[in-house]
Amino acid sequence: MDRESTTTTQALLDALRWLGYGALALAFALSLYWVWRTSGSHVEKGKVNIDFLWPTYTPQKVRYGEHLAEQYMKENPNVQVNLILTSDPYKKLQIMIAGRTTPDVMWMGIGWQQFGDALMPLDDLAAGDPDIRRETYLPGLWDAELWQGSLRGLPSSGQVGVLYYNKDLFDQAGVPYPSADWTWDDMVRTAKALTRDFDGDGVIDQYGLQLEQVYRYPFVVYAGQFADSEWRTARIDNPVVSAMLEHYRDLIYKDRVMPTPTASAELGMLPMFEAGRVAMHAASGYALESFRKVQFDWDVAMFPWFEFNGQRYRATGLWQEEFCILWNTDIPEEAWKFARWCAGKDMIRWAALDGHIVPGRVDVATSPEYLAPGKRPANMRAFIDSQSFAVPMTPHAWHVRIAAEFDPIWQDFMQSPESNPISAAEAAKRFNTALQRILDEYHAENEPLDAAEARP
Amino acid sequence: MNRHQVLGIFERIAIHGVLVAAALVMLTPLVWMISTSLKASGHSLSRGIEWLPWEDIYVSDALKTPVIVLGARVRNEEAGNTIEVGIASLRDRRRRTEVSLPEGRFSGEVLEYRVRNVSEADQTAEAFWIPCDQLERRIGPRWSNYSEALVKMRFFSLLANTVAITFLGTLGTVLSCSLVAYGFARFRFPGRETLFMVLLSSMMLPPVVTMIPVYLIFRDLHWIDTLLPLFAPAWLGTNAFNVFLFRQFYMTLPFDLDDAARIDGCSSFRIYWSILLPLSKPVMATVGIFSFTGLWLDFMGPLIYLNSIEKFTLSLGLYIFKGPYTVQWDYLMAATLVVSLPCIVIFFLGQRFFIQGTVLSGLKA
Repeated sequence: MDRESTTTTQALLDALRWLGYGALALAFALSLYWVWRTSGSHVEKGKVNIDFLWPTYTPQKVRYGEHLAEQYMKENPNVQVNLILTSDPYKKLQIMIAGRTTPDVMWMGIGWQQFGDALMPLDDLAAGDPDIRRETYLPGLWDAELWQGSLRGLPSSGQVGVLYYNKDLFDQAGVPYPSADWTWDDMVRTAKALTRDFDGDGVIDQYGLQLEQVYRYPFVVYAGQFADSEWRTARIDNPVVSAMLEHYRDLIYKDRVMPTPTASAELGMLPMFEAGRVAMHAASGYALESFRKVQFDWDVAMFPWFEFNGQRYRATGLWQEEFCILWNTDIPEEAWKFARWCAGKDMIRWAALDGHIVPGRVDVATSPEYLAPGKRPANMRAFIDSQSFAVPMTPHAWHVRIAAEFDPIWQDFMQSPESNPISAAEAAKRFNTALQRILDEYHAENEPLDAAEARP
Repeated sequence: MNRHQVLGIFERIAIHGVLVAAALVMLTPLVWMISTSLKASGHSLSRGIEWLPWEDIYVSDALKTPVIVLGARVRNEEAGNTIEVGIASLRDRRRRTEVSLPEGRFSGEVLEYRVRNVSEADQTAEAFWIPCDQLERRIGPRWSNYSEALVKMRFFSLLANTVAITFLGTLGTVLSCSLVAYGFARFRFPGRETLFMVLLSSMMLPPVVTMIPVYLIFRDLHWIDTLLPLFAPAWLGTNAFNVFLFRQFYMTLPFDLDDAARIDGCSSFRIYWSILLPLSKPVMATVGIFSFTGLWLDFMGPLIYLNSIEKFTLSLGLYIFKGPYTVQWDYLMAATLVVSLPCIVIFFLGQRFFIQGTVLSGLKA
């Protein structure tokens, strides 16, 4: 290579290097500009700013939250609703509480009681509002909003567990659809007819039934309640609960109509029903949005009656959703107005008809336009009728601890027969002992507080 | 060809066979991701694994309508009768096929299929029967999953945020960590080893321990709900692992380079900038790739610090398809594939440097 071409090559390399530096500098400048552009605060001076925490569980859920914020600002030009979106609202709230940057109003769902102390009591505000009273809501919802005797949330949705069933699979198997008064034995018989190993390889390809693991506690208390009405004496240890537990386990290991918990967890519960691999699936109204996209025909039915010693028992889980106000909000009145508006009839009606929620308000839930929406399921009534025997999924302030202590017992019980599981009677006894211990400790801690509150 | 050469060829074939088989196993999740991203909702967990996104078409009078096949009317050739079965009972979609029922199997001839129109608008459409020869099965990838998923997650806004954070964070990490490592590797000063140990010990602290204190700092700086907490710390040389990598690499370079530069009048910073940094391309690539993937895929940081959806990053945006009980697999896989593509491309581009860097800095790749 001669000297001239070497020089040219060098010049080209230099030019390329400077071009690279230039591109780097440009990218740096653009990135900084973007950071600066997005760093503006939402807080609008001269307006009431409401920080509103909302989950991003699905694109539809995001749309619901955005609609609330936009609509409220349209109706109240002096208010700015700052929507705080997160995929994990409880973790986010924990951090925000620690950082003292809590929102003013937030969506809450199952497990809200863990933040009970951080939520503002709404009794005084609700007392002056004729629309906020027990009768406004479906049975059980009002009580599910109480924390240490006072109202901490305005219910929006009251989702109960029902059985979704694939009508096409029922038709193919030639078995009748579930009826309103069918029994546990009917359910098992039907599930057996729908459980299939198509290729004969010993692996079940289509299950008759799938009851989510989160249903285990209503099933534990299928025969009644966890405890007495005062939550002082555990009431799990009785023959009905033992029989119920035994029947539940048999679905997997004896009747072989339900996938094991491991198989359910691996494949995902809703997707198995959506793929036509499960004929009956227990879930609450949250599944509606997803199932309405599947192409096969389906409907819903109430949980079956469980018969024992000539008596009939029935229970299901209740998941409520609510709007709560954080205790240390600087704008309690504005926060109340907003929460009240979100949980009011107009917005609940809009959310229910748009498919976001199963409405917690009686007037919306029983309206003809909600019960006959022109889309699946045909038997929307099952959601409403099931409220009468629904058990709140988080029934006690210390539900997190209850769940933590119940889980190992449940796992010991739900083992396969080869792994020597504990008996149903033993499981019921252990559940009862664990619950009684927790209740005793709870009352020992809270008794002085209750007494102090009772003093004039 | 002698015996040893023949054996050598077989040995090579065996080794490559094993490697190809292992590669196929490793690629299976990626293939499933691509396959699922092209299927209709609810088809991701169809019986067994269907690798191809099949679509059933009802052909009638030159009209082609997508349908879902629910069942079939089959003539049992042995028994001579005709029965209705669910579609899952058929071994395949051939006219003559094997039918599996609880009472046993038989070979039969499919006469008609029971189908329903695929329509999200009309959810109450009734099923109907069509002749067997009017049903076509073809591969029908749903490319619209990609556009729909990207629109639903507001992809381009999230992409801009992620690119800005990743670019600034990666640049900051490479520059600041290399500078800190330069100090630890090339200067002797009292307490150097102790300081280095203190720095390394910060790696032992689980991030959850520092989460709240760091959040409080950013709150006081009014940086909550801005992109700043996600990349600004990278400019402070705080990543002990990357400092360690750079230091190990610098220690392999002879001090004669520094001495010669000093004799020529170079300052300490000039030595770092003009001599050590250009020699550090392998370790820069290694740290760059680690930092890029870490920032691009970071979930916890954006979850904590970002509130507004217009400031979200891509990894946070993916969670819009995954709730506590539901997963929209078709959209999630489509979006995940798009989000992970840059990481794959960056790794392939920097692969040579990356491997060289991990070897030279004493790490096992």
